[in-house]
Amino acid sequence: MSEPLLQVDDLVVSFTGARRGWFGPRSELRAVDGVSFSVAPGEVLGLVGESGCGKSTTARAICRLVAPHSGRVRFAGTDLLTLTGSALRTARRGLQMVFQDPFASLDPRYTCRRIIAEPLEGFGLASGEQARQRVDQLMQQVGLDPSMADRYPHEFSGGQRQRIGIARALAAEPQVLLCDEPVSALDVSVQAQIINLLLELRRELGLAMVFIAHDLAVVRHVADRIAVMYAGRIVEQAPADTLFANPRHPYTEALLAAIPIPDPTAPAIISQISGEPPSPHQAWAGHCAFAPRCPHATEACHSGAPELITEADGRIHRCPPRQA
Amino acid sequence: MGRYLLKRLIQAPIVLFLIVTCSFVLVRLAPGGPFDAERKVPPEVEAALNEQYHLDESIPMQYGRFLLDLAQGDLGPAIKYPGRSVNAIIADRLPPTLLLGGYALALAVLIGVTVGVIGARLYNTVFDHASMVFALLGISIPMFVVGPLLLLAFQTQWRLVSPPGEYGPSFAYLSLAALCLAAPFAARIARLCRAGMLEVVNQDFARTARAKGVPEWRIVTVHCLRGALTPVVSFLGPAVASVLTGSLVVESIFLLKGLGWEFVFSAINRDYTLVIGTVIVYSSLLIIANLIVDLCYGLLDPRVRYD
Amino acid sequence: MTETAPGLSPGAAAWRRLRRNPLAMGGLVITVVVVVMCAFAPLFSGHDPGYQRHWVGALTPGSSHIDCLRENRLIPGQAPDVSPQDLSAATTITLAADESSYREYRIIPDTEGRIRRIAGSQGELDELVLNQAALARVALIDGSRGRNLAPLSLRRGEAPPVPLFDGSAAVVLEVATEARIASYTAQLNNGVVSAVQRSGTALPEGIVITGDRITGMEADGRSITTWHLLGTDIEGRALFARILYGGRISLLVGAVATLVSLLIGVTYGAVAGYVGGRTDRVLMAGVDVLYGLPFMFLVIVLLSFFGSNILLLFAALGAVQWLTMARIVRGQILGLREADFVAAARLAGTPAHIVILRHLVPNSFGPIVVYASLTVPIVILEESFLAFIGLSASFGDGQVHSWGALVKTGVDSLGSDGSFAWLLLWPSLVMAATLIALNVLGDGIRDALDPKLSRGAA
Repeated sequence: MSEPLLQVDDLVVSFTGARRGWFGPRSELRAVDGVSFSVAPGEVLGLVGESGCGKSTTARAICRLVAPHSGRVRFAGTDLLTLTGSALRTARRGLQMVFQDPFASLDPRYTCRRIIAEPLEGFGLASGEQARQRVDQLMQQVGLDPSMADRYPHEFSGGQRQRIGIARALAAEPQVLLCDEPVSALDVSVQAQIINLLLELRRELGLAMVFIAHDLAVVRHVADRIAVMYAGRIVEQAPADTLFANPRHPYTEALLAAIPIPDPTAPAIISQISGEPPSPHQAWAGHCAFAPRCPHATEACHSGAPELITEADGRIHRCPPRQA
Repeated sequence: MGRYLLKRLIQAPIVLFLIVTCSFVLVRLAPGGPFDAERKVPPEVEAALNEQYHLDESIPMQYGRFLLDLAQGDLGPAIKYPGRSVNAIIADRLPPTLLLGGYALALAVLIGVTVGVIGARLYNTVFDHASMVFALLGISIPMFVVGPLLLLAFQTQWRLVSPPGEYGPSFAYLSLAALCLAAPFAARIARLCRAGMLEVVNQDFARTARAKGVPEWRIVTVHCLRGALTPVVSFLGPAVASVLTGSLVVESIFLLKGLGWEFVFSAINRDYTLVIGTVIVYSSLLIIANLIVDLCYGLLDPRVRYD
Repeated sequence: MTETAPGLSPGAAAWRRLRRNPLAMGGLVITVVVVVMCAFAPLFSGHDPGYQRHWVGALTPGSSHIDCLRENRLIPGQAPDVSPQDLSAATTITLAADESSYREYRIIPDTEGRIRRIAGSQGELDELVLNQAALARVALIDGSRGRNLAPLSLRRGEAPPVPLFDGSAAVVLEVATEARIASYTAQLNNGVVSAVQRSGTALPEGIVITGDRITGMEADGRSITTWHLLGTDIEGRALFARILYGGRISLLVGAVATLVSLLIGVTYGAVAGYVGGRTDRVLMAGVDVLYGLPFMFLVIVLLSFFGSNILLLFAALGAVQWLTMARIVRGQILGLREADFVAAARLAGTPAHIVILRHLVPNSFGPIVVYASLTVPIVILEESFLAFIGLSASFGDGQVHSWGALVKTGVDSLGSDGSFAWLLLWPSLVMAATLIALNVLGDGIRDALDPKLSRGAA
């Protein structure tokens, strides 16, 4: 296994809320609670979990769009969390993001050309005529007609806008692309196009990716390895095929069971998890966060915090072996 | 809510202190003294006057003395009124101003809310359009234009009111002045109230009430007015400040010798102590009024949280 | 898709919506007309707004009078100096001058406005009767103002039958005792006076006649008069010109003070909103405290103690208005700061100040423009309010005043009988029309930029 390009160690992100009472302590919200993973060059890691589990916050903390509370993010040999100011700006050039909402991620007052050229300007990669040509080239690369470069975002369709967002990320010549649910705001018909585009770019440019989704079905086509997040923690991490074939964590099982099977004759096995996801205000108070909703929970799950278990097939998870 | 109130109560003296210091510094930094305007004051008389009012001391000394007196509620002697204290003059001048200002605010709210509500109920009718045109005129035409015209019509031409005599102004005369002062605020309130009503009237709860057969007047007064009044109440805070400012001109147009008139007079005549005294009184009025408005706001809209 | 028509930017779309709003467009047209007329005032009025002709006094709109100067010189060897008009092309100029003898009476009022003393050159009088033959002119004690009086009688201890004093300590009546009109003729040669005659007698020294004595003037048989669209004020100054030049002050104060408030408010609000956290809380607590200050009172104190010059006025009125602007901008930026396109810009290596300047502020432009456009009329109103209580800024040796001061003059001249009403009417009308236009325009801009309405129209 080669040296990881991006290594995240014990990342914690917390937000402070309102004070309790007049002079009480501010409440603390742990959105990300000790997440660790690594991405090798050219590898695609899928990050899956239900909304609110902290997967987007993880991505934003990695590139310092939100300030992490503690932990370490090593990217291409430098620790991003110790950098500030312009050093940070240059260091994270190789780490670009594709956002979920293609409407909100494009400045409505910028033309397509200005949007794509922004990283060129910001990192001093190209200017003037050179920048024009680069933008045209990037637009072609993501399947946009360069003649539309002078239009405003609202004149493009959702899928086209997402292509602009991808072109902007590519303009910085990144090594890792953080895709934060890049297709979940799009029509189903368009989703496949964007996923194919991303896969194509990965092949052409050898990009590594962290691909975030709330839906295992989407990730299955893209990811080499999949990490499943629940309540701010990674509960299971495994190579994609292994995970699908043989999930270890009951939460992963539940997610897999939720994937619709496109076969009307197949027996409908609907296994649903009851209850609500825990409020992020609650800490892991010494027990498994999933235990209250887990169909297999034992006495032990409610008392002791589950340890990370690493298995021989490269699988890492947080659920002790249970009796069949 | 309690915490918010506490915060505002702590804030109030800070604001007052800032104003006191601000006006003191402004007044003392200005070139020239209070006796410069009088041409024939001999130097020895001026020196004696300066000594009497402690103007010969250093500025920090004067400031300290001033704060000390102020802490005891003493605003000092008035410079342009020999033998009278600022406290006495303010006690004399404040009632007409309070009367005029309160009357005008009440008129503004009454007229504004009535016109606004009717305008919203009769949306897009002649009444609605006419009232909005009047509101626009009210906002755009300065009260010092309206005032003399009102006087010209009611006092000179039709002789319906007479100027204030020995026992103060008549009710009709005061009403005229209050109307002049209230006009721009009534106009703004009418616009706010109409817009607020229009937003609320078609919301689900109003439609539900209508479907349940609740009479229209009850929908308007009970269900909608509350929502429509929220922007009006939040406007009242700044409006109090503007009414007080407006009373400066209205008092001078209508020859009502209140605090506003006194303030302009003292500012132009550089009566140091009287200027600072009136500014302090005005600021206190403003702070109290804003506190009351904030409280009303909370009562009216339970969604508003104070933090 | 081969069509490559450039798209409509959000600004262009708003402008298109504004154009469809007739009321707002009316406001825009009036605003533009007023601004252009004030900015290019000399093109629209040939009169000097500060030139006093006390002998002319207040003339009703549309009146004309002989266009002479305060001092008129016809001196051989020099160009004729008798009119603001260029008479150098004429060959003959004739002047009719009132050379009656006058007797001066000084009328002194008591505190109640009744006549306390009538002092003539022969001593004190109890009564002064002015009949048709002995028409009088009034001058203030410093001789700066004049108007002709109808026949009347003044009695000691009684109030004068017409408003006479206007708050002054004393007035001088000049009463004609013997009427005599003299006629002067000047010959011109290439724009230079060659000879001056009085009723046929040559005057080698030439003549100097004050404007108040001139009763007629002709150049080559053409009567030299001038005309005032809106009449003149009590000092004989052209009202139309005064409104145009005064508008320069009012509009300038409105625009510059708004710019000042924009500059402070946008910077302050943008920093508070973008930095957030503790900085934001401290900055906004400061704004809250400042909101409690009775700013207009402090401005009045400032202007009355430091003298009202126009720079101070800009700063003071701008300082009053920036608080709301800061709040609006801060609220906008606070919301936008979390937007993905801002995150994208940061990831694109754009430094913070550029993010604020190029992404955050432009996207808050709508509310900023709306608030700024509604601030202009507020500032103009505030300036006029200050002018009304005697704290006006002025141009041109204190002779050109803002609209508020003109209205104040109008109110003061109104008297108890409503005479000189045009002196109040026209400045008020122009000012109100401008304020209405600006308000309507501001409302229109708000509607045009309102995302709710724009979604409905799309």
